[in-house]
Amino acid sequence: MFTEFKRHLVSYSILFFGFAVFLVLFFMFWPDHTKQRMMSIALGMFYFSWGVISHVKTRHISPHVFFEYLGVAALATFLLLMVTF
Amino acid sequence: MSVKKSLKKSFKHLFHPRRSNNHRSKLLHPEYLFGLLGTTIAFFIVTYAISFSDTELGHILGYASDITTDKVIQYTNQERAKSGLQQVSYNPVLSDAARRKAADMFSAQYWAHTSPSGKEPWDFMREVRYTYKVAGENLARDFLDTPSMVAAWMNSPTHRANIMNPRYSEIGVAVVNGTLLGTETTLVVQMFGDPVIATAEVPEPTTSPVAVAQNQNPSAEIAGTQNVEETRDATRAEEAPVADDFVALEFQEEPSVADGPVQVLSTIVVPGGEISVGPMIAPNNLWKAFGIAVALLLLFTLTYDGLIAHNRRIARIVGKNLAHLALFLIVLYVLIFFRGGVIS
Repeated sequence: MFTEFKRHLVSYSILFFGFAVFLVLFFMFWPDHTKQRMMSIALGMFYFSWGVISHVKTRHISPHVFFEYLGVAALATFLLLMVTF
Repeated sequence: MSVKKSLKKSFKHLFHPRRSNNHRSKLLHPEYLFGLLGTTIAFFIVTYAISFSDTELGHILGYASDITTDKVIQYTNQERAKSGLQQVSYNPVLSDAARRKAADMFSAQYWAHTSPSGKEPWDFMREVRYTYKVAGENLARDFLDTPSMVAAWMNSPTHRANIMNPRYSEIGVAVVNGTLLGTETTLVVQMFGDPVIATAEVPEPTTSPVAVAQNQNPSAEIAGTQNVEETRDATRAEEAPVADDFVALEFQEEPSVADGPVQVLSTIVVPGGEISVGPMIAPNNLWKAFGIAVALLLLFTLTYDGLIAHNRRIARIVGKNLAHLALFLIVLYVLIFFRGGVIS
């Protein structure tokens, strides 16, 4: 995993920066659940885009990978959305 | 094949990277991820529908909080003390107005500062003959504890302005359990005021308020608080008509006051629909627990799958486990530290 991280340092830095921004904004917007939901959807879209782009750049993209990112992003987004109701 | 062997095989197929699952835990395959998503959505829809249903099971789901009027006043004064403001003192008359407002919200089923019939917070103060120079109101529901609720108010500029207003000298609070818009909840009405010193002669009321600060962001879920300033005495309000189908609302314990009796579980009768009290499980907590379980399951599967693939040096074109792990750790963190509640 550390080898993977070092090999794609820029890519992972963007990802972790995105996660940090999400965390700060999500808790900053409390108790406005509408804004928190928007942030959750934005996180899901960001993650899906990041996954697809990083795999396209390394030419390791396939329908399986595409749908895996879609499934993971959708599941994470829904778990976050669920608690804001 | 015995049941034990069959279960073991299914378990391995689900978690252990092997030939049968193309050397990737089956749970991480897109079709299983979408299956898990479908299960989560189904669970959410079913529990959401149950919490809205008028069944025995439906009454189990709701918001049961440990908010008390004492704590609301205590935390409000703590916030004021931080800024060097004078403490607001408990006023039972103002609390009575707050209770009437809460009762009205439950019986007419609305979540706003103004009722569907146009009744404003100040009308409830007039009903109890509370005369004021300046007054304000904060509302909250679905909170499980007082510190979170007061923190949410302090996080909103308009609610914060009410709590930190140096002109207020008195506070009234109502903490009421009931069913609001289909959900069992704890509703909190906080009213502030600065009373007019009683005079022998009651002057005729003026027709309009001197200044009114309305909601600054009415479209958002966090609607602003209202704050009205008047230079008149409130007139005696007409008695509200009482319908045949009475509903008794139980209120939480009154705060103890030095020069007055402690009143426990006061009850008033209001017209309107049925109100039931005593939810056992907050739906939000149920969804939180379910979400945490799903996140933990995926974190475990991703870690195990990554370790096995690394040790066996399996070459495969799949999503990045490290990225998935980071994402679900973020989800887990948010689910654990998420605080609910709505203010108005």
